[in-house]
Amino acid sequence: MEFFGEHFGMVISTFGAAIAAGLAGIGSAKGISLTGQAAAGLISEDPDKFGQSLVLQLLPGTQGVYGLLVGFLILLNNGVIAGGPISPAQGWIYFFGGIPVGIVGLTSAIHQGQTAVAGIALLGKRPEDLGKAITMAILVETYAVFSLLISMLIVLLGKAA
Amino acid sequence: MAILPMEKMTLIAHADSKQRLLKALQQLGKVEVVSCDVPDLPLAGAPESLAKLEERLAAVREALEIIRPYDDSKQSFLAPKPPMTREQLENMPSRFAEADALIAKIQAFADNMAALKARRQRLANRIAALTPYTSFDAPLESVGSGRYTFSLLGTIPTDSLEKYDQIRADYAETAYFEDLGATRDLHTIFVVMLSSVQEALVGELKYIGFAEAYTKELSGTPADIIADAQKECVRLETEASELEASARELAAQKSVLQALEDYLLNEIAREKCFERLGGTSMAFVLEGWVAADDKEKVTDAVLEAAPEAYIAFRPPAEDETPPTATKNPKLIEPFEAITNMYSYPNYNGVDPNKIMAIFYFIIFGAMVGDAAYGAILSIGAYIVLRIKKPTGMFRQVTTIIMYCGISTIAWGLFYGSVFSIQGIPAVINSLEGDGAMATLAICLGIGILHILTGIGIGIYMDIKRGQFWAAIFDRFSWMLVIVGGIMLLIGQPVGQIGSYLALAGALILLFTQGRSKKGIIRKATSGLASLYNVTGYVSDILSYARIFGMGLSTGVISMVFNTIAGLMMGEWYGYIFGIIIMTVGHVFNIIINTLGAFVHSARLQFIEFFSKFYEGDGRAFMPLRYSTKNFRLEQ
Repeated sequence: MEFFGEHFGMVISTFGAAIAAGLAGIGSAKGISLTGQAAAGLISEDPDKFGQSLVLQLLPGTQGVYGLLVGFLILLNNGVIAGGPISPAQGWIYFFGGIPVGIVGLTSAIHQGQTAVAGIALLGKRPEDLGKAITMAILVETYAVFSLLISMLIVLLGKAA
Repeated sequence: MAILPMEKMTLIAHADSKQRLLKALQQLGKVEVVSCDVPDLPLAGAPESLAKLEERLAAVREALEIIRPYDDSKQSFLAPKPPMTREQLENMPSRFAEADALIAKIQAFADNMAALKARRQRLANRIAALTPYTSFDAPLESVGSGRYTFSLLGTIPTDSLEKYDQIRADYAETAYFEDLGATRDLHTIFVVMLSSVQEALVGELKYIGFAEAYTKELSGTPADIIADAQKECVRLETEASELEASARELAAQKSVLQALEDYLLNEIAREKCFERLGGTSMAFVLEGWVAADDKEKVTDAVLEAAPEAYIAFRPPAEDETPPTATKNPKLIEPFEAITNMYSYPNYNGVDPNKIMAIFYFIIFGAMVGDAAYGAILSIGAYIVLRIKKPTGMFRQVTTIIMYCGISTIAWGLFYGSVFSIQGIPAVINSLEGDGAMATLAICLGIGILHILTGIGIGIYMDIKRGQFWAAIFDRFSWMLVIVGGIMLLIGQPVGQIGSYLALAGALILLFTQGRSKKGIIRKATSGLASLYNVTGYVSDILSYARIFGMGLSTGVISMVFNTIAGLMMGEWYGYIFGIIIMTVGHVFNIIINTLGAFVHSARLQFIEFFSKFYEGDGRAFMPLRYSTKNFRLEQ
């Protein structure tokens, strides 16, 4: 494919960075918003639980940060922020590197948000079990972390030629 | 550690000393009164005075609520709450008359306003009802039964016009029809008919939807009535503004009501304790929690108020969990707000705040990572603290920001970021490939240190409880695995040692994690399964990569705003736009990233750090004391 001439590597890898940051950001926004709506309902009945609800609400935010991170790493290597001109093959490697964290971030953040919403309901009935609610939401994040790991390995270690 | 040991206090005194004693305790502010638990001793009921106090508080709050919309005093964000001394608080009863008079005036105002509103509503209704008939130029009292005739004023729906015309034709000999006007939906008509046809014609009109105008008790032409009503409305307007002006004057005196509110809250807090006292007709028993260090002060205060009282202390029983009171050095104390947001430390656990504060300080700074922003945060927080003198959690959070601003300055210099202006020398430039990797490694390194510290605290707790072997099997083994694993990743030469350490740790886990199970198969399976938790630790360590991401995002956003502003600054007018963009951009950036740093730093403490050792579920120590909502209490 010779669409963008010698810039193809940079273009396609930037696409990968956009996927990583964009999709993961969507996921986090959705997850946090779901939890925030549930938290608002809880606070309307019981304003003292604000701090604890806040802790649950920020849990789905992780994936957005991870996506941003991978996006940065790609941009730091493909010439947009820093790094030399890269070959098309290298560009494709970076592109694929952005996919795991983008897609998994998107879906896992939404699911984590749903788990956190259930956690808010638990918090409402049994405020002493905040730790359990947090643990259940965190377990969802394990797979987001794995996708971050793979993305980082691809971006940092994947060298064409 | 920094959790204060508590003791259970039992106090017995003569019933006459109840008020005096409780007042003395409230002044001291160091005793939490709990329900008296002596078997066979009935609890005293709530005194009648409590109900009266609560009634009065409700009246005060209602009055304050009524005049709130008329309160013109603009409180700037930085204005501190007005001060009040304890004497002033205790002398509130002398101002009861003043307060009651004010409440009565406010109540009267509310009643007058309501009556006025009702009158205005009635007038508005009347005007609306009569407006369709303004062209009817005869007095309304003439409508109705006459000697030989009957007249009607009203409306018919526009849809019925055809049928109306039919009726007009039918009754042309016996009735007179006049059109008074029309809107889109209704036709206004006036009909005069011979009394003989009254029943029939009225019936037919009503059949096609005729609605009669309400003219009873009204005199004069509609136009006159409407004019009168409007004049009355204007008069009521002036009356309303006069009332509102008087309300503003009342609102200006609200401080006496606020003082009364605070006084009543404290009185009610004390009276509520009466319910928790066990008593006979002559004496009463009070049970409460006191910090062991305060025993002497409490004893002195009690004996001064009631020299005949009997007072005794004992350490908590096996099945009792005292409330938690923490005492930390002044620099650490604000960080207690972070821990308390999650859960109060358990009385039997440890106080994590000293170590948590240090890591929070470091991580917050790394997440914001700009020297100029750090300076703004520190100076801004300092100004707010000095001028507004806040209390409670607001004070703690502002103080945290002030301290962490210093860390931010340090990290900003490390990153070479001052408003992200290009060209400032840095220890590590994280926007270049190698620098980025190094910064990421540093962030993960902080994470590893944090986690290892958490495990270490867990080991300390186990050893303190005499569970030395549990500490080795369950916690130290993981330390070996983590440290060994890191060394392996670093490669030779430490990789060799690392492999031994990791293997040792894994073997310990394999052999000991099933020790509570029966049967060799079950033990082995548990041991093997426990190794799966390594994914948990990998997940925890990678979680700290967010420090790198957030620090970078601050830098990149401010760089973007700088670039945009730079593009503008070609012409002279470009400079103005440029400065606006820079100001808006950097303010936005500071707010978003400080919020994010605050919240994510806290999250790292709660999830990655506390999970290694922390026991929460503590109950906060709530002593009976003076506290004020509307004022700052001074000694």
